[in-house]
Amino acid sequence: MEDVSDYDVYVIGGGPAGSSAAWYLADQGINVALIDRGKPIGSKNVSGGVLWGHDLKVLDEEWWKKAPIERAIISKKIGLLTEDKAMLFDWDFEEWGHEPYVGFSILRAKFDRWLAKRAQEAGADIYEGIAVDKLWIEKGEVKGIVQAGDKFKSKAVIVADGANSRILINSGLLTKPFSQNDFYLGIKEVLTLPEETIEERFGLNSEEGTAFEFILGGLPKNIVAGGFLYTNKRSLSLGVVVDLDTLPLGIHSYDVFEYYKQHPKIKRLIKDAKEEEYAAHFVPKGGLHMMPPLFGNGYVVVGDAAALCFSNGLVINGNGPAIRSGIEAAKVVSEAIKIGDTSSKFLSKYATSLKSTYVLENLIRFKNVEKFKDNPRIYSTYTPFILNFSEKLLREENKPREHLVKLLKQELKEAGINSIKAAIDLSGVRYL
Amino acid sequence: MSNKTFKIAVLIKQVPIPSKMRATKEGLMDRSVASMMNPYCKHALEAALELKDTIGEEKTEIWVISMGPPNFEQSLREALSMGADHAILLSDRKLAGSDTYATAKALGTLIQKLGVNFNIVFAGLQTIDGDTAHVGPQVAERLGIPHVSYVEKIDFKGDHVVVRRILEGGNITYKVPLPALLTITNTANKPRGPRLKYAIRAKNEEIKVYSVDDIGLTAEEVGSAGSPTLVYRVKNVTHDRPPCQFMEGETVEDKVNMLAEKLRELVEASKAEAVEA
Ligand SMILES: Cc1cc2nc3c(=O)[nH]c(=O)nc-3n(C[C@H](O)[C@H](O)[C@H](O)COP(=O)(O)OP(=O)(O)OC[C@H]3O[C@@H](n4cnc5c(N)ncnc54)[C@H](O)[C@@H]3O)c2cc1C
Repeated sequence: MEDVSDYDVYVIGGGPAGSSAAWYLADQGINVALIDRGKPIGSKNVSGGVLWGHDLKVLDEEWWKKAPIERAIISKKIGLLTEDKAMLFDWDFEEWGHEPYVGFSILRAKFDRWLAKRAQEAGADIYEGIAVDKLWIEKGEVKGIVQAGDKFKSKAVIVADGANSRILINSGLLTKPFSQNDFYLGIKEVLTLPEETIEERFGLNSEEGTAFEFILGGLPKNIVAGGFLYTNKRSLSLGVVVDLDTLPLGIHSYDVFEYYKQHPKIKRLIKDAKEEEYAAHFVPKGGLHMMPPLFGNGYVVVGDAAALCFSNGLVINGNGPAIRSGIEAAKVVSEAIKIGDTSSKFLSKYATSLKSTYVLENLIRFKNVEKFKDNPRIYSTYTPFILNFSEKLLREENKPREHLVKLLKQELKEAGINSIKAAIDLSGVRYL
Repeated sequence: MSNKTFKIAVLIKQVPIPSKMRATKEGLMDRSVASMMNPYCKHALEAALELKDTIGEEKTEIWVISMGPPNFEQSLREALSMGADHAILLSDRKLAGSDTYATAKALGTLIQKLGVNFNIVFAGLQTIDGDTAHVGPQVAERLGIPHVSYVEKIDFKGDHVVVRRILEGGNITYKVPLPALLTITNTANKPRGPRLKYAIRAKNEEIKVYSVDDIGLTAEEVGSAGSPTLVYRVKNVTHDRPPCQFMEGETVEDKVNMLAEKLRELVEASKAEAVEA
């Protein structure tokens, strides 16, 4: 099979990154194949939740009118939870409910299939249910791909196989191996609920949606975890993101999910909803330190495979960077093919152009954000403290009350919190 | 024309995805819903592919043959991308409503018409939409070759095969002269996925479509007209939710005890019902 060259470009992985890249290339008249191990495409993808921004505009000016979006996000809620307490900041932004919308809830199984179909309509060939082994490399140059031991020659390959990229690992293209430390585990459930119930319960009009993120405090032993809840048209996406590194022996990520799901606040929000789908998936913590080389002779890396996912504890945005990096890579690759130069030198333009977008800019600007969001004391000490303290502050028992500052001092002392350390920890907010 | 001396036919059918299965007003299977290759047929194809691996790719040729509406092409292409070499579809409105007798007649005639002297024919044990398990054996009768159903193991011995047929509570081993037809169980093997090499080839492969005229049959011999089976009545059985009860309890022991208790109640209830009746 050597030297058969059916395609100019192989795109490995049909998530948002790969499909966007294939769509762009096909639009440019490049002979491209998109290969995904799921069948149908997207079936293995953990239907994330919110797609923020309009990176798809490059491919279709009015993409959201055609895409299977669920609801336009018009409000955002950020909360703290401990075992029996909850506190919520609640923002409504009317302008988010109009063009040019800010974000949409999506169900990945549907959305990914649509995106791949658009790539196909543009002229890309789609191969489903096929897992690629690795890249075909000779003398430091990527010649194509290897599947089931067969080699397939191409001019360039776009690696878009998602978090913890097996393709990069199997091809020996990581300068530093990934470690468990580099990922969170996301667990997510889709729960069905009638449209009217969702709108009534969350105070939404039709087509409008909301997004919750929670800091999960009060879990045993300094576990770092967050929860989310997004409204879809007829379902809720509910899930947790857990720092596996902080899980003590005997406690599993699904225990954390149960803790979250059983919380009285969450229980009320998901009352009567029926479980429909359950999935778990890695989420790259993101950040420059875990980023593999973004390009080399004959290949580029996009999306989660390149660890371009952004999260700061208040928002998780991996879909946008996936799409944007897919498009930026495709721009450079299509140019490279047209002039006949797919060398590392030429493809480095991809990294340069990515630096001028929010994708890398954010990762650079927020490179210290994990000092705050991955600080266990935020979860195990301060969150419970804030909730306990506010409970005391707000409780009215018709007894003499303490002044705020005195109460605060008392409570800090009782909770054994060192206020200097706390001040330092909380000053980590500046990384946000 | 080709030096592929060992020729294998695989009969495959496309079926509705189980969750989407429903009957039309006329009592026939609704074929407009999302569908997939019948799982048993996939095992039959895998058996053929394994045989091809045994005998050698250069010497073997696999033909996948199906009868059904044009959208059955989906499963034929899937078979090609798993490693089959040729795909044939018998498709004609006149075939609508065929029972197993008419189907086997059409398929048997088609196979003869192809003029390929197949060394072996594989079929799935049964389909998950019809569940009869009749078509394979009837095709064998039409072709005048021996058949073994419920096959879960095949040893190729050149001019014959040794096969294991499962039975309730045991199995029988047969020595079968070739050509023969075997229907394959779902315990026989683990079907492989598509392979890029074949999938790329499958994209451009022509699927040859035959009509009833092409194989020299008439409308009276196939379809409802050619089917001795009469459908008396079709009933759609639906319930909102499978009757499901969860056993609650602190420990596994609690749950098991509760389950045992529930089962006992059920047994008592049905005994009481029987007495009443
Ligand atoms: C629980 C959870 C919640 C999330 N919530 C959000 C959110 O609300 N908003 C947001 O923006 N982001 C969210 N994310 C992150 C977001 O899902 C990812 O950043 C995004 O999916 C990355 O896209 P991608 O195309 O790079 O990779 P993926 O979507 O992972 O796609 C990779 C594709 O490659 C295929 N593949 C893998 N290996 C192979 C192979 N060897 N051969 C062929 N194909 C292969 C896979 O089948 C898959 O289709 C969430 C993630 C999780 C896990």
